[in-house]
Amino acid sequence: MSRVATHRVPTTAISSSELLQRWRLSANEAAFQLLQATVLVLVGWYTIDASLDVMDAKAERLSVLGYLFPEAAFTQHALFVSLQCVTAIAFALWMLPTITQRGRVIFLLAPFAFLLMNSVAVETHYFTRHQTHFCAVAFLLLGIVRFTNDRPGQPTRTLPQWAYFLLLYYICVTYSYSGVAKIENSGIGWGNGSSLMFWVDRWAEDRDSLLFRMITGNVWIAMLMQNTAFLAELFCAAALFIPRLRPVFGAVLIGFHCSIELLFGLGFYANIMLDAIILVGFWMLPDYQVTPRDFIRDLLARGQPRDTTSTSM
Amino acid sequence: MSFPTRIFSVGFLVCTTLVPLIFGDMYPFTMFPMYSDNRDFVHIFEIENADGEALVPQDYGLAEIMLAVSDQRYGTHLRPRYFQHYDEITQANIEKFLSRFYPAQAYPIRVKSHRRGYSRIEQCIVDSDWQAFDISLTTTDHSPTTTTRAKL
Repeated sequence: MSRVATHRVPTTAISSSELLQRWRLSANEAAFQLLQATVLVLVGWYTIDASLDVMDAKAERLSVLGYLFPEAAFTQHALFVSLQCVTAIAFALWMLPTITQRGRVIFLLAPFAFLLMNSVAVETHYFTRHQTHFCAVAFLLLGIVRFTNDRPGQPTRTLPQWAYFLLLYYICVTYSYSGVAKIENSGIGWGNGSSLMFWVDRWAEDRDSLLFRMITGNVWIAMLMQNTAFLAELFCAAALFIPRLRPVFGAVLIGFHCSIELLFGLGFYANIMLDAIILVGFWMLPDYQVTPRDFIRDLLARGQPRDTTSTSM
Repeated sequence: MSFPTRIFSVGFLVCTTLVPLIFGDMYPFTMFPMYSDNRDFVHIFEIENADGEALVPQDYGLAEIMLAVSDQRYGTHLRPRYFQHYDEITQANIEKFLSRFYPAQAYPIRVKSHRRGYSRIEQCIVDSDWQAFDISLTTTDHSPTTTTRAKL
């Protein structure tokens, strides 16, 4: 009678429970993955959607990169198409599961190609477009994070606090500047309702919608909506200092952009999604209640950088 | 935070803060200036040739570009536009403008214009009456065919 072996043979196969354990993400890791996935989807969309406008004599420089490259480059259709291809290839390489030490350069190349491609497009527009600003900056910051933190076989798993703060700063300060621009150009009475009523009458796509009828039917409703958006923009910088205000401003600004999308179809998807993730989503995570004081303290602190997967600065 | 990250962070904060203040709108830094101009009316033009066929107002510089952005900056040069040079729409001004900037276009034409915008009295968006101007670039009659305009 043969004896049945009772001992288990060591195996390298991964059990289902181990697999689940491996995929189980902490809240910080899930937030980072969500942010990264969102930005990549937006980048993919805006890369396909990008187009040149007027190919004519150059008037003004409208992008930072416009100062770094010769003016002639910005009226070359071939350059634009090449950059679209480079962005698409870099975008695909970004999503490879493993990356070599040298291959990390893709995390700088991809955002730079995306920025340059959009700069070429912006330089040929005769009117101001702002749909890709948030997306481009978020992509750049993610690229810097991955480039500085990734190691072979060890991709970055959480968003460092400094990167979160920089993106939050960009969003909040840009919105506040928008409020300042309104005061500068039209005074404190910018939100008088009549202008919103007129814009909706002139540019609204769906003239049967409830929103259209509400705004064009009553100047007081138009005034209320206009001033709500105005105040949310103007004071958004306060959310930098007071974390509990972030979801409040986030909710109002998401509503503002959704109204614009419903009325005019302008497609500020990056603003909507990044407002939701940065101002609302990350606010729920205790590790991201970072304020300017925390950021400056860490900026001035001496010492070696900490664990690359840590959320600490 | 590593040293290169510190340098990048400081540069990023400085650019985000100062570039919009100095340049206004310089991709990817911006003040989001759209809709900062709360103007609530626009001039609308229609142009016909002698046979009554519609022509494109942009080809005569008579389409008002209304973007609600004060101090709009342009990436490419646009052709001359009427409201760069004149505020009031009169036959004399239109003739001066067209003879100076668009003399090679087809004439005679009939330019029709009206204003659409918010009425403080009616508290809604209203249209003014149309004005019509016959332009041949040789005429000396500067009186519009219709001059009635609603109060906006």
